[in-house]
Amino acid sequence: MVAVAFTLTIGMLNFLNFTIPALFMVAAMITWAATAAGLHWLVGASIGMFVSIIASLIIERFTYRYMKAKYGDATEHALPLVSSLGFLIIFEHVVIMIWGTDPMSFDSPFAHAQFKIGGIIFGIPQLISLGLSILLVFGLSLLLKRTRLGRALRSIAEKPDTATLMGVDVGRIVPVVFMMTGFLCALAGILFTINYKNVSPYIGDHVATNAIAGMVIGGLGNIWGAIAGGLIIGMVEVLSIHFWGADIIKVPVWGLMLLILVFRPAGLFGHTQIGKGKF
Amino acid sequence: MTMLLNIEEIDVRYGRNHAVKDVSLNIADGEIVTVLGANGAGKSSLLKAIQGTVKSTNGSIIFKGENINRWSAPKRVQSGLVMVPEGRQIFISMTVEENLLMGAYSRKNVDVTNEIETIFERFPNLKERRNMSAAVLSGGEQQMLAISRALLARPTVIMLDEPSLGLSPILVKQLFELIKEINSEGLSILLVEQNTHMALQYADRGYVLELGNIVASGTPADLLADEKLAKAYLGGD
Repeated sequence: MVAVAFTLTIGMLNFLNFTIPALFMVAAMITWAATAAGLHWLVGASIGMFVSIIASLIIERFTYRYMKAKYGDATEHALPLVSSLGFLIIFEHVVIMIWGTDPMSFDSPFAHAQFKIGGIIFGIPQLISLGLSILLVFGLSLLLKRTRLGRALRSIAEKPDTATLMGVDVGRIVPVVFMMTGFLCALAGILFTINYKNVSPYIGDHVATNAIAGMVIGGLGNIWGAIAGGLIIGMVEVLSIHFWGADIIKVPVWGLMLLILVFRPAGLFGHTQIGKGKF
Repeated sequence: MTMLLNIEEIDVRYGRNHAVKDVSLNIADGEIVTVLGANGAGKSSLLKAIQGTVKSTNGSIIFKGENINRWSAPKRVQSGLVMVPEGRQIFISMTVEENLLMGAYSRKNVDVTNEIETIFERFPNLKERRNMSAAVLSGGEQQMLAISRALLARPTVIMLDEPSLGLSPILVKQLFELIKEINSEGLSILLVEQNTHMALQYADRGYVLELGNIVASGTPADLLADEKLAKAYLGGD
């Protein structure tokens, strides 16, 4: 899901948004903190979601829009990327200042919800996460394909100047992408918290690198590819732990990504032109 | 005669480059007005300033009696000032039909199914490919699509930036016939062209732009009668 969020901003705005892992982490931490403070986990999750979406809008204001206003076209510069990296680090350290660096354990309401098929244990929350991701991407692709808003988003992705000539107010549509980003990241963060029962200010980093790899494997700007890429990464991780142990885990993941970049630069399901992909 | 669109002494600057200097121009209801000039004369910049995608620094743009200087481009589209950009700029990631729907974007909550069908009747080639990617269209078909897309915004003034560029002579002829046709349906047209010969044949009035300045204006007959102009811009043919 984080891969989907990445691919959305890349595909739409040609902007590698590094605040995505921060939003993910913030939502996860808030869910944990609120629950630890005695609130129902759903309340905690809602607060996390809300904060993440608001934060994403603030980020839009100060990275993408600011650069665009100042230099005409934000996407031609590395500046939004760097300023989003700044936001990532600031968010991480604000969280560290408040809650410290230790991993916190989260009492999952679904801790024992699991079943076995042929010796493999499936957690119910994991299956729900997968189902929810697929459902979301399905909804997202329907939104992009069938609705007026979806067409506006796609027109901005392809030709922002021409979109303006059609009457699309780019300045008002772009925040929608950031809101969706915030929503997706928060949902991913919440599901992560429930699944792994463990949060720390650094979870964003690990997830981000995997999500970027997943996005590249699936094809930049392709939301179905992002889901598939995410699943492939997950599988490669599990299999390599099984066969070679946990220490080596990053090597096959990034090795696979590099191989795919060499042989299929557009990704497995990708399109050669970023932002002009199929949704 | 009351003017539909009245541009008074506008300037466009890109940094130090002064692209449009003190240009005044007007269009009456139902007129075809053409702006001629060599490459880099500031024709496209002028159109973009009228549309609002680049800022004009001085002067005023009065549309239907209102000063629209401070309006955003989308707001100008909504009020009926619509541009067909140079190079057609079809959305190739969309189908032909989706491109038309984008044209109607500025009209919220309006069912344009019938209007789209009318366009398909006019251009059967587009109808055949309605659910295909617009990338498969030929140059001429793309121009038809670009103009149809603009028409779906229900404009009062349609601005065309080099519509004949890259089209064969037969298609250019068809294009100008189409322009005449939509004009006779009540639309005013501001046409920027390099094909001066055709443009003057169809326009009611013309302006000649040179290095950002308007150096001549008048009816096609006036412009063609000016020997110096005829030599410099209007070609020997």
